[in-house]
Amino acid sequence: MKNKSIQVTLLLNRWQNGDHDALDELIPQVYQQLRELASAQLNRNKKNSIQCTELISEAYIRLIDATGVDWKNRTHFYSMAARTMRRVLVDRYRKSNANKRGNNKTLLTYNEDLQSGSSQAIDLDNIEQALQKLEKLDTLQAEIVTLKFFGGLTNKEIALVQSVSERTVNRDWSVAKLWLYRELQGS
Amino acid sequence: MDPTQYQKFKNIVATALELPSDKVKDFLDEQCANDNNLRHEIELLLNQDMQDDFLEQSCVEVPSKENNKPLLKGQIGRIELDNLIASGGMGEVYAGTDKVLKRAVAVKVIKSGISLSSKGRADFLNEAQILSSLHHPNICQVFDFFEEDGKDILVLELVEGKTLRQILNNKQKIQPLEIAKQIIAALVVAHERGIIHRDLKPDNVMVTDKGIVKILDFGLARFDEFKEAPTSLDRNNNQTQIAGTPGYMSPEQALGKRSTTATDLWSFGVLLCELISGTQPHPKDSTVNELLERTKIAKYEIPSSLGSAETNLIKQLLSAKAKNRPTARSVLNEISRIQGLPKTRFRWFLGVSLFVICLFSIWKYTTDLTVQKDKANLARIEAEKLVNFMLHDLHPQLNSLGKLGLLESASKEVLNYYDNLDPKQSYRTLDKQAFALLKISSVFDAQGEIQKALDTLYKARTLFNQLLIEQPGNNNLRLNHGQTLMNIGELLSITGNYKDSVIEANMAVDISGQLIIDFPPETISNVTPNAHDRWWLHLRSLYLLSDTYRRKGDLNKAIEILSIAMNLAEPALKKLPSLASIYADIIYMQCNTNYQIHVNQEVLDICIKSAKLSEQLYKNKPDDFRSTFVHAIDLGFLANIYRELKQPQKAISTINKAIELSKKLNQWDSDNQTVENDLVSNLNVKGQILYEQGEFQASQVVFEEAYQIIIRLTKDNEELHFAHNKLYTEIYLNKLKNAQVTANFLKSKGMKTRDLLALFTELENRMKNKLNEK
Repeated sequence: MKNKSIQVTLLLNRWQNGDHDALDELIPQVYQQLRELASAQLNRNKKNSIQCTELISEAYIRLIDATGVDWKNRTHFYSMAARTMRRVLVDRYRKSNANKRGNNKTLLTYNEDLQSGSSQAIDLDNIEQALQKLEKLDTLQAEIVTLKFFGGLTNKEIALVQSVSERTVNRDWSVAKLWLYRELQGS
Repeated sequence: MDPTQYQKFKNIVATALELPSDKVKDFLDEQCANDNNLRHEIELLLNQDMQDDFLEQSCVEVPSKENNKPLLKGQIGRIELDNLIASGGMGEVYAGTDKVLKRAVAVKVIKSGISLSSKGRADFLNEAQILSSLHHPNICQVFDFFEEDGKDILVLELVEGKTLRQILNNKQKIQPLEIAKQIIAALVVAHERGIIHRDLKPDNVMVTDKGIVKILDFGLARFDEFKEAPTSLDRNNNQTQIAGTPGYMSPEQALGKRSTTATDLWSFGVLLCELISGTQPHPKDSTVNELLERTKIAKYEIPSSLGSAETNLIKQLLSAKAKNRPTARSVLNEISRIQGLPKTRFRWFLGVSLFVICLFSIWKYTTDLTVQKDKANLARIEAEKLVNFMLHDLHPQLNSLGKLGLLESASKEVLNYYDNLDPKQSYRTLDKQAFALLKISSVFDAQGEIQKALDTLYKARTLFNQLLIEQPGNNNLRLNHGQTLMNIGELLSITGNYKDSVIEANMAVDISGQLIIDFPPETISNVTPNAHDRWWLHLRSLYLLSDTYRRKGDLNKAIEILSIAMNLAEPALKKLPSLASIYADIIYMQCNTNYQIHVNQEVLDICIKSAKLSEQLYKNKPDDFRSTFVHAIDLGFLANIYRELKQPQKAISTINKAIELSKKLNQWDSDNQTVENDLVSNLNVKGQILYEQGEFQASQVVFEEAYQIIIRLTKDNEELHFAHNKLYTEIYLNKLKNAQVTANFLKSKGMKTRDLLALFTELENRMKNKLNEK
């Protein structure tokens, strides 16, 4: 475990120093870790919802030797993990739901166990579709949403990762929320 | 919106959000200037009632597949279990595949802790047996029932869709009466076989994407009845209480008495109220105990927003005493009746026509009163007034509603009436009689009683001939005579008697041809018949003649006549726009006839033109029966051509539109067989499209739906196209023996359309394959 975290930390630092190959090695590690953590969380909670930021924090603790990383690199890890989180979720759960309209199999009356997800939880399929739509209109804004929603990064951290001003992040985020809200109401 | 527009949009919204609220309006005025669309979009966004914490918590809901580890794994019997799709107090449901029959199934495993007394079990087994023999489109089918490892296992049809509970919660738009009708149709069949549902509620009703209702868990509540008392529900929180069974439970169930079929009707009453009004007839925040207490004393409140017919029906259903509730069948009839009134202004007609029917049955007695001649005479005058009213005022209105069936019993009375007149009386009213017969025949025709319609038309033909000997120059008589011949020709043609049909059609062409000589379409005068009626009859007769040749397979002749019709129709339409519908018919016939010869872009273009024309007519009169019907046919035809030209996407979207219209028509008049047959045609096309797309299972479902309808239709109707459609479903459902019988019948009639020949080939191929397999 220790070895692994040292290895991953090294990869992160190499990536931050401009070694792009390091990122190619880093992402699968994070992907795998997030995937396992997501399954564990689902089993633990007996719900169908996933707390993304919790998972990323956990992945960070498991994968990274915190003593060897500065805060900037930590932020970059989170931003990368946020994107990876989105991919994990989509890859893993979209397939089973590929045909949502035609494939919405339910058959029972007493499915109370299955419907007790948090009321705040947002349907993965819906948010994913909305985000893809937003990406076509404004890539940066969609990226901000990904980092914020899936990664739980603060606006300041996002500003750093995206090399934009914090005000831009604030503005984009506040409009994105309204825009997504409307999209999700429609779905 | 494109990305550039979006940037502008985003910046305005972002700035507006930063401004104090009283400055926003001015800012938007300035920014949007004259761009009302932009302003509208921005306001939509700004005026939303968004929760503050929206998206602030990073929590996504994922499909439930992964975290439900099924307790059963692998295989039960010949069924391979796939994934757990639901679980709950009573057991679990898995999706699975029947490996022998290669169909998707649902497997319901009832928890071993829940068992029935031996009596209850025997009853349940008995019901499961009956249910498994029951094929009803609105009942989730039971395929099998057995015991394994002490668990009771039900193998069911796998239903995909949403529960009515989800639909109601989401306030999704639905057609409440259509759903109610399908539910009650299922109850009719089940109740008439002695099966009680016992727990009817929105959670137990699935609605598929195609709007088909499937009732789940028939009779399963029996397991509950023998289980624990409903006190366990008390621990639930208030929110789930109102959604649970207590709201739907009947008084007898609440009092712990036995359930009967009437129990389901109470539950249906609650459901119906909820379907129509969106709320149960109980206060929203009732607790379980309150609901139980209300139910015990049959207390309820129906929202005042409901119409009186609906309110009355719900009141009857919610009768405290089970024996006072109507049967499922009578509820079905009542819903069809309510449904048949698309707009309140038409309710009047229904009332009047029922009134007429009553009056006609009274005459039977009054006209028999030969002793009291004065009274009998008076009755006769009244009767003739009524016949007039019925035929001149009611007939066209009901015809445009597709509800001619309402006149059927009145029509029979009219026939009786004329039959019983003394010869002198009869002679005086000959023209009225002939005219009445013509109208009455259309009533029988619409009801699928072809022989009766033909007999009535033959009588009318005799009368017109008789009348024309005396008044050869009476153009009104000539027109109606021509119409009669044309109608005879049409009925002969659809039943395969092409030889006689051609004779009648040719005569109709001649008669109407003389009527338009010296009477150009633009003629405006008080002379009857008017230009429209004359031209319409002539064009329609030509249409019929070409149709008959087409059916017979004499395509050159058909095309020749069509070109005559086109040469007349095109200039006439410019002068007389009311000919638009017959013009559309002729284009349709061009499309259809050319299609018999070959399928290519040119034919497609004609058929698109035909569909566009009928769409226009339909859009002008969306509530008109005929224009809707014609458009449904055109779309179905077009879809089939797209299919043949290998454009499956267009084919599917077109056929779905067609089916939607067919279903709407079927709702308007559920007894109209022609409409039902058209629905079958469209379903068949869809089935074949899916089949050719490799969606075998979906295609079977569609063909099965079509088959159920067409089997009923062909029971006592000889129309060849019905038989054609029957053959279609039989082949694609692989009922090859039946298909051969139908095919032989059609061959004996000499019908030779392209589609039919294709079906014969398909059948032959399938037979060969079957032999090879052996």
